[in-house]
Amino acid sequence: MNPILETKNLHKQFGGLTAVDNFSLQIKEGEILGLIGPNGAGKTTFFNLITGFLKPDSGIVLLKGKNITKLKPHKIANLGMVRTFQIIKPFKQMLAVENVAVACLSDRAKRKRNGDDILSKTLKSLRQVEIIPPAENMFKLASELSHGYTKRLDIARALALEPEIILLDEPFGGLGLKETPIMNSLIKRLNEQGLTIIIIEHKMRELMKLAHRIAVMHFGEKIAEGTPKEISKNQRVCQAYLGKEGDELFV
Amino acid sequence: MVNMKNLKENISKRGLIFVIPILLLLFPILTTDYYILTILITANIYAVFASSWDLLGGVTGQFSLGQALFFGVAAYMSGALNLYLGLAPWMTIPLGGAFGVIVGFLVALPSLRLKGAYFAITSLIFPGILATLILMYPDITGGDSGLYGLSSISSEILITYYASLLLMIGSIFVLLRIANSNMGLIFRSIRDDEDAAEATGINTTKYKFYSFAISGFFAGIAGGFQAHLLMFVGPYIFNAFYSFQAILFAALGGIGTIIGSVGGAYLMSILNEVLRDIAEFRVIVTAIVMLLVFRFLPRGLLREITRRLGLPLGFWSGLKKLRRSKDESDS
Repeated sequence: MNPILETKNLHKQFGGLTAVDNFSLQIKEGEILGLIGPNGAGKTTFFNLITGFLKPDSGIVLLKGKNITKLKPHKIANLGMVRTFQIIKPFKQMLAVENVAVACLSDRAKRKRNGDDILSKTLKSLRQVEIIPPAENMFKLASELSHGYTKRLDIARALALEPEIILLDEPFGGLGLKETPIMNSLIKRLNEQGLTIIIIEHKMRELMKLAHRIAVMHFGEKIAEGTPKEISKNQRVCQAYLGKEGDELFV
Repeated sequence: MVNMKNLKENISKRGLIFVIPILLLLFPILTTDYYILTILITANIYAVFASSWDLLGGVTGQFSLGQALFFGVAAYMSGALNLYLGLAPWMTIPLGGAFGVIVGFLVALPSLRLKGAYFAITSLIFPGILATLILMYPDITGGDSGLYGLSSISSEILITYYASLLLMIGSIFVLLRIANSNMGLIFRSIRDDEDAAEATGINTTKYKFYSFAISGFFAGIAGGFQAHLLMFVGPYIFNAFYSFQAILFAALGGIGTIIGSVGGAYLMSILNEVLRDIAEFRVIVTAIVMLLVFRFLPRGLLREITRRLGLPLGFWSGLKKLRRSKDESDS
């Protein structure tokens, strides 16, 4: 089967620093791929490259066989690949419901809406991530929502575009004990509905439960790729993380 | 926090907002004093000018420090069309606005690459460039002495008053509609986080152009009206003071509210005239009033008043549908 997303020899240099080094990756339709690596490995840069926020120095990005390397971010989003941000980026001075309504005004959402009005589409997305009920949540300013809700608001906004592939940059970052399982089951549910998902995450416990496959980045390079089990036994990966042998990282 | 009940009440209280234009329409019953009406005419022009800035700076987040550019270019354009082609004010003012649109597009170009403070500083320069150009071609522009002897709006002050009121109410109505529309929602998303808007599939470039064009139009018609009101337009119109005034009026009323600009413009225009007798202290008193407003009502006069009264002050018009679909509110 053809991969839904494929990068070939993606390369990005920031001055003397190679952030992403000849990175090739294939993502199959319907899978959850975990992208891990120590801080500064180039994971977020990789997201920025494939979503058009940064232009690669060389290499190409193919979304469903279409070359999207030089497209602008909004074009890529409208083609069905939508991202969230590591540092959440809600529209702070707008109501939660308005945050999601904006996404419903994108070209793709308009096309996919067929007949549904913007408001009901918006409410559907908010329900999907369990921001509503309770109904009053949607009338809170995004800046008044808790961190966990805001993280889910970001995802609701992405879902409103009815993406085929969603890129989550540390969805568990900063979540508490109560919020973590909600996020976990949300991601699982979305994947069961057919959504392809790439997750950057440091919380290995959560990622190991979710990911079908894991790719490991280190200094911009892919040093390993495989099932969670394979990765947890990989010597090179453990060294990259801990600088020593041992598998206590993944317990 | 806005809750469902408040929102619904707010929507139904909306009609109250029409009290203000009605009072202004009836104002000449009290007095038709030339001097007083002129103050209100000026306030109307500045209300349009300030609210045009508010759409661009307050709603879309493109913090321009050079709004006088649109105002001035359109004023000169209206003046020139009137003087050289003999067009009447009712034609030159909209044409000036159209020219404001073109200038808006041109100024939008640097905003695509320069963000925040960098754009603000760049925008500050444009009016200065225009003022220099004006002085370089005195044959067409009148140079330092400007264009004078323009047609007045009307010889009757009452007609001029109503024309300015029509201009103000019409402009504010349209700008408010835009700010609360789907397009306005997109403008606000660009203000709050441009990257996130782009990631959400919004063509931010396109919408920034729209915002500049609309803002340019309304600043332009305000400029054209001013030129005909004074029957004169000179290079001083590009003074940064004018640009700052637009922002100041909008800020006093409440940035991003559109209608706040009207309150700000009226407050300052009236204050300016009341204090005319104590000219030496005018700047000080004005500054104190501003400090007090910003200290105690940092989000603006109008925002605070409307909040206390429970009146609506702009929300995405798509939410009106909630009122009709009861089932949604119960979910």
